Amino acid sequence: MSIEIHSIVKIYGKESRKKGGVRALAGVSLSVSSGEIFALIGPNGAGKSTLVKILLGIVHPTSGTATILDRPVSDHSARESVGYLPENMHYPPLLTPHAFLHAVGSLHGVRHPELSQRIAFLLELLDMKKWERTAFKKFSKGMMQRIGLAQALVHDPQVLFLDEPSDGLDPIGRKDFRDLLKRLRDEGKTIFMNSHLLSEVELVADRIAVIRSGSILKTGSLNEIVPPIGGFTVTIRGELPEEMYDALSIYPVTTANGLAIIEVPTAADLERLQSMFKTQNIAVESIVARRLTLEESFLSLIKESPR
Amino acid sequence: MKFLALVRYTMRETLSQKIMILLFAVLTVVIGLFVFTISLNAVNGVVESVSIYGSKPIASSELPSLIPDTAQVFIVFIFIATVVLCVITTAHVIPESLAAGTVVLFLSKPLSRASILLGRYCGVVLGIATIQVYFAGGLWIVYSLKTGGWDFSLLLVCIPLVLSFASMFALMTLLGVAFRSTGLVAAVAFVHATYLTEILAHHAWSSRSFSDVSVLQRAVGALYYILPQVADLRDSAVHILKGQPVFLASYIVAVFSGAVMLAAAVTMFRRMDF
Ligand SMILES: Nc1ncnc2c1ncn2[C@@H]1O[C@H](COP(=O)(O)OP(=O)(O)O)[C@@H](O)[C@H]1O
Ligand SMILES: [Mg+2]
Repeated sequence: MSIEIHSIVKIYGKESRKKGGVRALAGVSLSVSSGEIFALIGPNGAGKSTLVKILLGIVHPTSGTATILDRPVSDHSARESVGYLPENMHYPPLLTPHAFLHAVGSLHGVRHPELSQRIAFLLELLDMKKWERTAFKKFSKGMMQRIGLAQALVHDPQVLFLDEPSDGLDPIGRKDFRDLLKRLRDEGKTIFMNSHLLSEVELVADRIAVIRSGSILKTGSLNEIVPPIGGFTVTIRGELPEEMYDALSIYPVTTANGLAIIEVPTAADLERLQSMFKTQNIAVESIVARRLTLEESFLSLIKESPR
Repeated sequence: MKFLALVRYTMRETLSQKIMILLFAVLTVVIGLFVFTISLNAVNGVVESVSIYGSKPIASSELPSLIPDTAQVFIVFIFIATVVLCVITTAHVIPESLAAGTVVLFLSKPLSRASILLGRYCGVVLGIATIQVYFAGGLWIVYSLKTGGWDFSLLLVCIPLVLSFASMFALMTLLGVAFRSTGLVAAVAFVHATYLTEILAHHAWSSRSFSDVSVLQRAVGALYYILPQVADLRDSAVHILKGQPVFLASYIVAVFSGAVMLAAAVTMFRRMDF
């Protein structure tokens, strides 16, 4: 196992709830294996960031233990092969990605010339090469997030923690981002991501845990967590060709941000559409089974859970 | 080593602040003024006469106190420029390092909390020491060139100079961890370096009778030992320039109290959640 978590409890402030402490985690146990994309989802304030911060030694658990690559998280060497994209990171406004990534890499013990090669590779990969020497104060949220990802990957870590990673990324950026995560997974890396949005994780996560008020409600595959309710959402990049207007008029279609989104009721309809797209040479961005929303499935999970 | 990488990063960050570049420029101008406006006529390293900006030379025998007074003025100036001023320009470092969005960057690295705090501490102190040695050393080189005597013992003033800032920054690190407020760190450090240290030094050396000391006086005495002894170290630097004997007590106390403050800061930092 790459990450093992045993009965972690965290009470912030006064070490007990009676004395006014805030219980952020109420005994969480999880394990994540190498080569897996694991997603922790739950509403704001559920304790997701707290759990990741405990794994990174940023917050001390009130009780319980955890290991990363068999090393206890209380030991700073556990962070040797760990990358972290924090929820809200501050980038020194006058620094450039070039200087910043060199500093972060050297704090991980990466040396020249590997460091320079790695940074050049990551900036290329994240499409940030041309901004390499521009100060952060000119960056948008999406650009910051790409640099955040670069700094998390600068030492080629075995384990990657991403806290609300696609915050600020545009839809096309999200697609590239998902592809990158899958590539890392296929290289055998472990990816642990937090999100309050199902849509952020459903296309990539191999396994999902749902957390609410500091407790894990359920762990399983996407289908186990949020069962399909029939039908699909098909997303296409770019404009739809006019020849297809008639064929598509029976489905609800919306367009936004250079994407066309088509709601398809059955698998048979989906097949028909796909063959049509193939002959028209249209690139399909994603096909997602329609499901209950996380909130809807939460309601049923909450009813199921004893509390 | 990762610790050294943190020290190097912090040092570079300290020195690349705009205000520091300005300070470097001002200090360079001061060294330049010394080169061009003051001419010393010396025989065998002993100053015989001084002329300022082409004025009629003043023989040093005519002004017996000129040279020592100049030494005092120089040391006070160097202390104000590189200790008092730098205390303000570095007050933000520890509170900002502990701010929510920044501290995670350090904490997520394979470094212990002690290494993180001490790495930041050493980086800032080395950065400021660079400025201090540049300025004191620059003046010394010009002085030596003008007098033709290379008195290396004068360079010892760098020790009380660096130690003053180092012990000030130990106090600032402790306050920064405890309160995480740049304003508070800057205010306390400034008041201490300019005012409190003088009062404490004055009291510690004047009230030598232990028989009838009040609680307040005892508290002042204790504070004298706990807080950085900038005034004593500065006076010690003057003694070095004048060739007078130097008391080691203030050096030992400064190192010891600095170490205690850093240890307290590390202990506090280790327990914190972010
Ligand atoms: N540093 C802190 N001090 C006190 N309470 C905190 C702190 N960080 C988080 N909390 C509380 O812990 C709970 C869980 O927060 P968090 O882990 O940030 O949730 P999430 O990431 O799922 O939104 C919330 O009630 C939050 O207010
Ligand atoms: Mg969070």
